[in-house]
Formats: sequence, structure tokens, C-alpha cells
Amino acid sequence: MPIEYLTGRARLQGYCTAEEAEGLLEWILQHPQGAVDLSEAEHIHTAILQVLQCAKPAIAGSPHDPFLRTLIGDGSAELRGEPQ
Amino acid sequence: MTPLLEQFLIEARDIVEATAANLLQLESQTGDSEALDSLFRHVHTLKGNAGLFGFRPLVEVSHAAEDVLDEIREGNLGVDSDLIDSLLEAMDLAGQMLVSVEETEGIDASLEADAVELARRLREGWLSQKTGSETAAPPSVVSPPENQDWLNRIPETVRLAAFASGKPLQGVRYIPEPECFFKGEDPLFTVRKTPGLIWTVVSHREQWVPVEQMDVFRCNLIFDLLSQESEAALKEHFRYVADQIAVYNVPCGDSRQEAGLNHALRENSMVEGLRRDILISQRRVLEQTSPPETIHGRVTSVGKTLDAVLRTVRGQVALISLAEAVTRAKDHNTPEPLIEWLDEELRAQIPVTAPSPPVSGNSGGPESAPWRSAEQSPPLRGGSRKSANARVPAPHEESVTVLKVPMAKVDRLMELIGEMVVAKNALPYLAARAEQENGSAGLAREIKMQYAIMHRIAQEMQDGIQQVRMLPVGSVFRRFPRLVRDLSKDLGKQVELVVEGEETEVDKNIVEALGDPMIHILRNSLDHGIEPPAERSAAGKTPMGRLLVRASQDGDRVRILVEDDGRGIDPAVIKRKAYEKGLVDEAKLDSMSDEEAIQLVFLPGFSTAASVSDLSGRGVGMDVVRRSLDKVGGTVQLTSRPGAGTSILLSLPLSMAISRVMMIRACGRTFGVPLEQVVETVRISVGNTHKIGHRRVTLLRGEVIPLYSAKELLCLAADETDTSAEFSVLVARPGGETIGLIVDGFAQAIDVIVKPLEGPLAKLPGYAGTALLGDGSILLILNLKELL
Repeated sequence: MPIEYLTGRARLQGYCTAEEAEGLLEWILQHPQGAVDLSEAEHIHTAILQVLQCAKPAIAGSPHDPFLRTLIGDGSAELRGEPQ
Repeated sequence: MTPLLEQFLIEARDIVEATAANLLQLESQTGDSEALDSLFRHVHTLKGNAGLFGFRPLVEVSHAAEDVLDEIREGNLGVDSDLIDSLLEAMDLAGQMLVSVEETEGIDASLEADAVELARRLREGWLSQKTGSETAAPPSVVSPPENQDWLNRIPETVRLAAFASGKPLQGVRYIPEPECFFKGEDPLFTVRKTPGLIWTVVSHREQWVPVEQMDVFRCNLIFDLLSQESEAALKEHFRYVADQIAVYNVPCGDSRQEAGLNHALRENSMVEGLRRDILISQRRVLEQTSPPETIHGRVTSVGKTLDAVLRTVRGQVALISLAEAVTRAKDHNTPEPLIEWLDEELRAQIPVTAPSPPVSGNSGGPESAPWRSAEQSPPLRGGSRKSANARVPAPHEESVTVLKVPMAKVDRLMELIGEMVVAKNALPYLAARAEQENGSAGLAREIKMQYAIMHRIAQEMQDGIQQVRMLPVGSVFRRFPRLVRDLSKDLGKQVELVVEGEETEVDKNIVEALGDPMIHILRNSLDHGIEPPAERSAAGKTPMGRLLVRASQDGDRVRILVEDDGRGIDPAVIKRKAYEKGLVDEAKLDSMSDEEAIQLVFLPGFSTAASVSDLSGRGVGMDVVRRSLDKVGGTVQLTSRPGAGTSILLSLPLSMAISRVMMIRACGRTFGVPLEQVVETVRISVGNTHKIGHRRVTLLRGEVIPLYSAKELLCLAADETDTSAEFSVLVARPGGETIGLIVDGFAQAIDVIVKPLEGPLAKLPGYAGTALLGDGSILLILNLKELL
């Protein structure tokens, strides 16, 4: 189960595919206060990244994966970056 | 050759073979989407695998073929025989490259040039004309960003390190097309795998709509990448999305101004590298196995070292948890808790402070940037690997149920079991000795019992291994559709090939021995048998000839029938030819029936083709077919009706590894005769034999059979010395004729492994080979056909 929806927290694990993007977006809409935990994600599909970029949820647990870390950063500073 | 490369070769060869079959299938049934899908999948796999090993020419060819197939699948390109020809040519070239890989572990330079040329022809011939310039490397629509502001979003330390490395830096702007998710693409994954990637900045193409209206399946992202790879390498990496990227040079900042910062940065990374090294070496210390009484001391010392190293950089919390881990370790007298704590600490360190960038001398700056560790991180695991609307299904990790084993390993097993059978045969001799020399009947009985058990097990093992070696004859037949298609095209004939019973299984040696004769027979049928369409119509037949190949099992033999409905063989023509070539004399010709006349084609040096054509008449004839079948104990029968067709029936043993021979004695020596040739053994009194000329004959159950003396044949002694009143006769049928062999006596029939004579002995006629007996002696196996 690549995305585990817990109370107030969605935990992404392993390789999260495009199919899961829609579910994640719905969950974020229903849980505006919820946080997304990326610490155990190994790779996320572009569609998931896009959901995070657009919906800008709180990020709990920065990814162990170094590449994702460069994208997400320790918090979500990168996500909240200004568009060009 | 590495096992991985071997595996690649095995798989690639299968793929090339399967694609050829698929292509022919596709040609005969243009709309066969299943064949097309399988074709596409195969070529795609081939491309991927070849890429893995860096065989560029192979990638090139398979990629071009894949593009063409894609066009067919999209319905933009119709299938015709020229197109199939081109694709077959591509697969042939791929096959040649595989041979080259097998021999040299690389691809020959000449093939490389061919590959480029062929790929170009495939693309130009089939893609450009139908789809215009769209597929031929579309020009990029992406331009580099107007300013370098995005660089400011890269963390300061990273950016400085990149500039300080002195390597030229490239920027890549990658704007995936909005529909890319539906094509199964994952731009982020492509980005992640970018060579020399230093940092990625994500922005968006259009302003975000309110989250509630967001379309998750439309890609709205822009990636700006900083890489230290060359422009060419980057373009290569993004070749599938060439129209969606822009690669440009990123000027380095003012190096003088940054020099000072650089220095500080380098120092810092050096210290961090050292710190990490210490943690790793401490972990190694803990891992050493040691007597329990030393663990306490070791844990204490490691704990102190860690405390000292981390005191300046880690907070109080970390130090407390360290102390706790040390206490736990001491309490349980095991280093485990401390190792766990260290692992946790090391894991936390990787991303935060980055693994030690190796600093090399004065070159100034990290050579491999910390973010490279993306490549070192554990491979993506777990979770589902499928991507949205993937065009090519990703391989699933299934438990392996079928093993691909190199033939050599199975051959080795076969040899071993053969030796085992022979070794086992020594036990009865041992039992006999125990009884005779030591007078121990009990021991002899026990040895015989053990022998019975071993015999049973050996038998089962042998059966089992033989099963492994069995291959469907289809593996030979698979080549035929292609052969028939190409030849009939060349000859301007229309031929329908019908293959039946390709699932019949025979030993792989037999399968191998079958290949060349079969091809020769098919060529003959196509060349001489089946007539051109006009001639067929004139004879009242359908314009399309029919060629049937049918395999079936018949007891312990496999029968293969090749039948055509062509013009058949004219006995008169054969007779005349044979006479002209001096193969038969006039007297014989007159007494010859039509049936016998046809068999003349098996004589060495007989070739009916008026001119030596490229196809079947290459100076070899049906005699080669017969001889190669002989070698594996096979026979061939030819029947033909003029005007109605020819049929050739091959009969081969299912397996040839272990054979049964009948042992005979002559002049005190023992010889073997293959049991399949033996009809019966009889005793005939001298009075019942007659001499016709020099030949002694006898009448056995109404049939006159010639008698040959084994002694004479083997030049052991003259027949005249024989004065016994009764002959022991082995009645055998080596060829088509029944003969009697006068021997001194018979011994039992045994299972042996017949090994062919090798070296100078191979030229000895009359012997089929040798076999090792249980008592260590060597048995010569007679080849009666050659002896007579």
C-alpha cells in the first residue's frame, strides 16, 4: 500500500504511481489540516509531485530519498516557492 | 562472459526468433493485433536489454523497428510484404549482432555501420513518407528560461560547490507535454535519472487553478535542472522527449569572489566526511564477532568515541539516546542496540550533511556531488511498479517457475549419469567375484541387492535428465515459415506451408541433427517439387502449392513426414540420370521397379537439377540427408507419384544418449550390435544352408537371407576354419535388407553409452563407436551397414 491514510496524516511509501494522485488530492481536500508524510517514499510520480505543488499541504517527515529531499526540502519551502 | 550477459544472449536470441515468427504471422493476417502486440513487446524488450549492456547498434536497430511498429499499431502504416521484408532484415541484423556479442562480447564495427544504415533506411522508408517530419526528431519547442533566477532557488552551498568544481555546467529546461501521463511517462523519473544531476527546480507552466478544480492527469510542471554532464549526454538522456527540452550552457559565477567561500565549504565537507568515516568504522568494530566477555568493553569504548565525535554537532537529545543505547547494549551483553542506533544516525546523516564528497588533492571541490547518492540509495522497492497507461507492461516480479539452463550443464549431467550407469554395471562383476574368490554367497547376494536399488535410481535419474533434454521439434520447424516464404518468393512460386505436431518432443541432439536434413528436403520440394503457378493451373491444380510437415511420435521413435503436392519424381528421368552418371549398369536398370528407381536419388553423387542452382543443388544431394540421419540412427523413406507429389518420411529415435546393444562373440572377442537392428537370434544347422556363388544363404520362414561370417567381415579368421555343425546366427536388418551374421555365440543385451570414434580412429569403417563396460573393458559397436 504505497499511500496509507492515517488520522491527519497521509503516509507515502515506496514508489507512488500516477494512479494514486487523484486519491491523494481528494484526501488533501477533505483534510485541509492534514499533513503528508514523505519520509518513506522512494519515488513519487510527477502527478503526485504536481498535487503537492498545487495543493501545498503541510509536509511532515522529509524524505529519506536524497533526490526527493532536493525537491521537497526539509519542510515545504521549495513547494511554496514563487512561480516564475 | 558474465552470467548476466549470457542471460541477455539467451533471451535476445529467443526474442529475435519469436519476432521473425510474429512478423510472418502478421504478414499472413494483416490485422492480427495479438501478433503485433507481441512483436512490439519483444522489440521493446530487446531495445531495453541492449541498452542495459550498452550495445548501441542493437539499440539503434530495435528502436527504429519499434518506431515502425508503433506506426503500424497506430494505424498510420499498412502492412505489406516489403515492410515485413525490412523488419525481417532488421531482425536478421540483430541476430548477427548477437553472434558477434557471443564471440567477442562486443559488436563488430562493420555491423555497427550496417545498423546505422538500416535504422536510417527503416525510418526514412517507413516513417517519413507516411507521417512527415513529425517523427523524425521534431524540433524542440522549448526555449531556455529568459533569466537565471531559478538558480537562486538552489541552496547556496550546493550552487557554490557546483561552480567551484570547475566543470562546465549545463542547464536543462524540461517542459513535459500536458498529456504525457497518458503515455505512461513519468517526467520526474526521467529527471531523477539525469546524468550528472546537481539540482532540480520545479515550477509550473500555467497559474494553478483552485485546488478543487485541479486536473491531476494534466502535467503543468516545468523542471529546471542543473547538471555537470555534457550537452550531448543530456540530449541523449532526454532523446525520447527531445521536443520538450532545451539544453543550454550555464555560465559560472565570479570565481574570484567565490574562492574564499569555496575554501570554507571544502573544509566543512572534509570534516563531515571524516565524521561519517568514523561512524562507519565504529559500526564495523561493533560487527566483529567476539567472545561475550569482551562485548562490554567494546561497547563502552565505541560509545565514548561516538559521544566525542557527535558532541559538537548533535543536540542533547541525540547524545541521550546514544547513552541509552550504550546502556541497553551493556545490559543485554550484545552490541545490537548500539548498531541500531548507529544505523539510525547514519541514515539521518546521509541527506542532512551528505555523504563525504571525496576531495581529490588540489582539483578543488567535490568530484561526485552529494546528491549523486540518489544513485546509491536502495533501489525502488515494493509498491506497484506500473505507471499510468503504460504502453509496455513492466515486468512483474514473479516467482520463477521456468529455469533457463545452459545446454552445457545439462550435457554434463547426462554424461555423469552415463558414467553412473556404467559404474553401476560393475557391481554384478563384483558380486560374481565375491562368490567365486571368497566363497561368500551372502555378500554376493547383498551386493546384488544394492545393485538392484542403484539400478532403479539410476534408471529414474536417467529418465529425468532425458526429459530435461527433450525439446519440441517445433524449435527446428520455426525456421521453416521464413525459409519457405523467402524461397518461394525468389522462385516465383506460391506455397502454403502447413506444420503439424510441432509439440512432439525429442532429444535435443536429435533436434539438432534434424535441422540441416529438413532444410535440404524442404528446399528440394520447393525447387523441384512444387511447380510454378501457371504450370499448376495447367495441370488442373490450385495455383498455390501445399507443403506439409508433420511430426508424430511412434513408440520410441519420432516420424517426420514432408509431403508436397508438386510434380513428383519421374522414375524414367531418374533412371536415365543414374545411368548417365555411371551409378548403375544397364542390366540393373531393366530389372528395376519404379519404386526402386526413385531410391536412386539417395546414391552419392546423384543430383537431378539440370543446373546447379543456388537453392538445392549445391553439389550435395539426398545422400547427404540419408547419411546425416544415419549418424543418429534415423532412416528416410521416399515415395512419389508422378504428377501428384512426393512424400519423404524420416524416422528417428526419440533419444540417443543411452542405447541398448546386443553383445555377440567372435573369435573370443566381444562386439556389440545396436539392438534396434537385431531381428532375432537363431541356430541353423549347416545342412540348412546353401552356397550360391561365394555366398552362403539360408531359408528362414520362407525368406532367403544371405549369411555373413562375422570372423570374415572383421578379418579375424577365414570362414573355412569353421567346422561346427551348427551356426549361431544373428538375424539383423541394418538398412532395408535382412541379413544373417554367423557368430560364435551371444551374450546379454546391455545399456551403454555409445561414444563415436575420435581422431585417427574416426576413419575406421565398420564401427559405430565404442562403449565402456562395467568391468572396465571396451566394447566395439559394429556398424553392420558399412561392414557388409
